[in-house]
Amino acid sequence: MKKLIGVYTDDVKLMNGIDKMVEEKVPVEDVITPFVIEELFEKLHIHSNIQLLAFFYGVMALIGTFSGLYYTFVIDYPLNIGGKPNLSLVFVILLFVLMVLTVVVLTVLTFFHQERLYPMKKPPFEYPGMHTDKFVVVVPVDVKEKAESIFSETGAIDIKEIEVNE
Amino acid sequence: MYKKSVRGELILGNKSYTQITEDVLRHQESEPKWYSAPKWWWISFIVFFILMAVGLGYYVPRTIVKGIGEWGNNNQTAWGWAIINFVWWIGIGHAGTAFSIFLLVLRQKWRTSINRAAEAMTIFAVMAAGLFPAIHVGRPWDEFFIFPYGPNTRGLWVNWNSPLLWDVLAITTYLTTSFLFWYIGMLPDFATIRERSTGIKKKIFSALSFGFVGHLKTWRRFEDAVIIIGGLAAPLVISVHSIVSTDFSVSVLPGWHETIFPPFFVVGAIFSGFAMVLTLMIIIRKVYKLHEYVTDDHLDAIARIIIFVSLIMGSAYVIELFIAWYSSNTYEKYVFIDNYMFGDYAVPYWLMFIFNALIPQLFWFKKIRRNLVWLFVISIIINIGMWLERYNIVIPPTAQDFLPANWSEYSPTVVDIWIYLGTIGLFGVGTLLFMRFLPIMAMNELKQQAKRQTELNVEVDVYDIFEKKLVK
Repeated sequence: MKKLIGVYTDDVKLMNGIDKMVEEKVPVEDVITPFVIEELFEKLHIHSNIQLLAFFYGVMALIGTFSGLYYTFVIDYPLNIGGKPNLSLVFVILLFVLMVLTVVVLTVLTFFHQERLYPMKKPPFEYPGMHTDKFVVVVPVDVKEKAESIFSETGAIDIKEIEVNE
Repeated sequence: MYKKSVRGELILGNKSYTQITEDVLRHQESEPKWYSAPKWWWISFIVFFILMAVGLGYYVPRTIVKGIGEWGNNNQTAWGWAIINFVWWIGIGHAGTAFSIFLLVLRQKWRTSINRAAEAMTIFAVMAAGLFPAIHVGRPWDEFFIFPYGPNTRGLWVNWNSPLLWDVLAITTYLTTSFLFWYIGMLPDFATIRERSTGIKKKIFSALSFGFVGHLKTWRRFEDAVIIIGGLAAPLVISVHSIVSTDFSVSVLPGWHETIFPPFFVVGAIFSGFAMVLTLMIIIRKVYKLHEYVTDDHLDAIARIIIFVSLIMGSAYVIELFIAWYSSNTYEKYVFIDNYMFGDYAVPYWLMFIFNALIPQLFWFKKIRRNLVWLFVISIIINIGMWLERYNIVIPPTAQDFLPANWSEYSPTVVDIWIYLGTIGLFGVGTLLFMRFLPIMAMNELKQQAKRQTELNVEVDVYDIFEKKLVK
């Protein structure tokens, strides 16, 4: 699919450009940056559901671990260790540790899945320096004129149309 | 909130984003071939490799074939060097979490240039640690017994009440979590290296970077995933070392049977972890000339934390002595007063006390905190002191316990010593390979840091994570 990109080398200029685009209602589809810029999330309303999912995994892991422990230690084989109760506080430690393990592994897998990241994957889009010092703003081609004028006005060093694999 | 006027700048020399990338990757990009490296690198690599090859390549298989009888362990001291070294390495392995994750959760910006190396250290230290219990069981081929997979095969489930089982689960979780945190954090930097390299190197880093591109959405999810893993790993570090301490404290042995053990072990772990980070960062800063990233202020901050932790260690030692006396229990009093303070084990005990509780107090002096040689020497002293602490915990209470007729001396054999040297070799080889081939600093975080520094001079909106909105 064809897209228009504007490339900045200065993040202050980038932020000015983004502000202007938001102001003039130019839809910003993506900004590719070499590092996290938290202000952009706020300005372009970017959210993720990873934290919510992680909480859900945590709850599931707690229920799963507790059921497993309860089944093995209370129902299936209630071992008598000096008359101590089978359902004991020991569970707390195991619940915590196994919950952490499950949540961490699943969160990482979720991140890889949502971003479609896997070993040997070819990056879908490359612009020289986009992981070093270039900030690439991607907009649809149908707002070309408006976007181009904002790009050149706010100091983008390169403006061009490119082909992006979806 | 980070105050430049109080703490100074975190990255010196007004670096541009390109300069940061070039500085961090300079030592890799200036080497034409994969096997070319400076002379010091090759010499240390060969030394560590020989230690690893002999220790892990010869003495570990020999222990497995011939049995634990080859070690210095005896009826009294059944745990010996293996467990001293296990606890020591686990303690060092807490550096990554302590540094990277505690400081991440607490939003301490000065972690940025140090966290990557600390995390790498964690992985190698935990690998070295895990080896000891694995071979100490004597019959490693039966280790699958620890995993619950149905009672019909063995007639019984595992004993969930045993701290040794918790230990296996906790350390496996810790290693997995640390590794994933480290790897995820490196994805953007792998992408940077992918972009800047050609040929086979590009292929390798393409594979390692998983096709990472810094899309807006990707960064958002990346941030969220990292904070979740970090947030969970921070309490994990406390539980891991508390569990290691329960291996000791649930026994009825005087000197081990103490309620102070869990916090005492956790603090000790953070102490030795920070000391090892200091040792390593001084070396990295020196050999790669990265003093603009690991500034005097960074080392100063680590030294200040060490003073604080050292004070906790000192008070823990004193509390142990006081409680032993106050309890009026003959056996407790024997271990702490007759044995540690004035008995056969007085030398390692007092050395430990001086190394861990007194010498780090020199960091109260600014001149010492800002002197690389002093910092380096004291960091090594703390590492030795922490090894002695584990020696004092493991050996004296077991060698001289309830019945004097049973007392026996403990001394390690050549096999014990070589396996320990082998793990030092493993740690050294791992760290050197990391320094040569992987991004030693988190470039993407450094750039974020550099951006923040500029923002302090330019009037722009800043996202406040606590208020969750943009502020002027």
